[in-house]
Amino acid sequence: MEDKELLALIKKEESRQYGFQLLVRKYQKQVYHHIRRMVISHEDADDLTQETFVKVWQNIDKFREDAKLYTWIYRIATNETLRFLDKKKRRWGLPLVNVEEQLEKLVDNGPYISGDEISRKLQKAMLRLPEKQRLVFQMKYFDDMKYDEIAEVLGTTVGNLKAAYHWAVKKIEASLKED
Amino acid sequence: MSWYEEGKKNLFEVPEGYFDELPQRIQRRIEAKKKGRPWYARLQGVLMQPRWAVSVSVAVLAALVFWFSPNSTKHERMIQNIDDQILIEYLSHEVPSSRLIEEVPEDEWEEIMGELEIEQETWKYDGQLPAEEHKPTTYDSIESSTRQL
Repeated sequence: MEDKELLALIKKEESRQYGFQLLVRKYQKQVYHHIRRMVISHEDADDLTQETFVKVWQNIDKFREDAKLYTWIYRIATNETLRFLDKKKRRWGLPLVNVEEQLEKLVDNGPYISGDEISRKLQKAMLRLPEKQRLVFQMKYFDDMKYDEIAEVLGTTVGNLKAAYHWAVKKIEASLKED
Repeated sequence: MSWYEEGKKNLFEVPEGYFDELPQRIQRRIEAKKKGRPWYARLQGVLMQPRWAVSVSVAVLAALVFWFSPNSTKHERMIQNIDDQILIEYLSHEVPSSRLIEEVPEDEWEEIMGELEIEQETWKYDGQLPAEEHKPTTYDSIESSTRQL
């Protein structure tokens, strides 16, 4: 179903819930995997995916239809994920922990993770990138998003994104050679 | 084949039936948020935030200090020591002020006088009392302030 049809259903009080269920079914896998690549753990990705769709439900009336629905949802998911990672790094009263190191260990030993050696190495190399660069790389590489769509999600220019992607690929190559 | 072609294989799995159940779980979370937590749980959540916890602690401390501090002024305390009958006689000019002073126990009297002096010193240095109005406390000034009562 097209986004316009979904939004028309959600706008009507009698079909609001049904329309939203269809929206979740349409985008849940993309959103979950977008978040999962950033947080690695299934439990965290599950919680953040639910929270993302709760926010979508709460704010759907504010959505401007001149924007793309899925870039708007990605934006919410990205903000939720970055806030979560930030909280994880700044927990009060606890010694500073290297979250990326913890996530790399999870790639090796965590539950619900399979895949071959090269996929694991790539995921670990991605974890060594700065968060924004990692987001650009994964949206371009895994989700095949266009630069102007990624620009809508991250609120930056296409020029910046092209440079960020270029550097991300270079760093990943160097990281894979080191391993 | 380079990593660029090979690396796209999905590394992450989900529990069986996860995506079939997810829409219902999201709906349940939305319903739970709509109902909201009871008011005391929400209040507790707010008060436990560090920025509010400090303000609340200060407010509670201030309330305790206010509650347990003596609530009578020195004039009131002084008058409490004096027998009602003598006060009535004094106010009808039947007894001299010296008789009134005798009614206040000596230690209480010294304490009151000490407080008055300290207070006047503080006024002077705070600039709240103009220098010409600052006069040493005498029995006469006590008498006049008592007469106003």
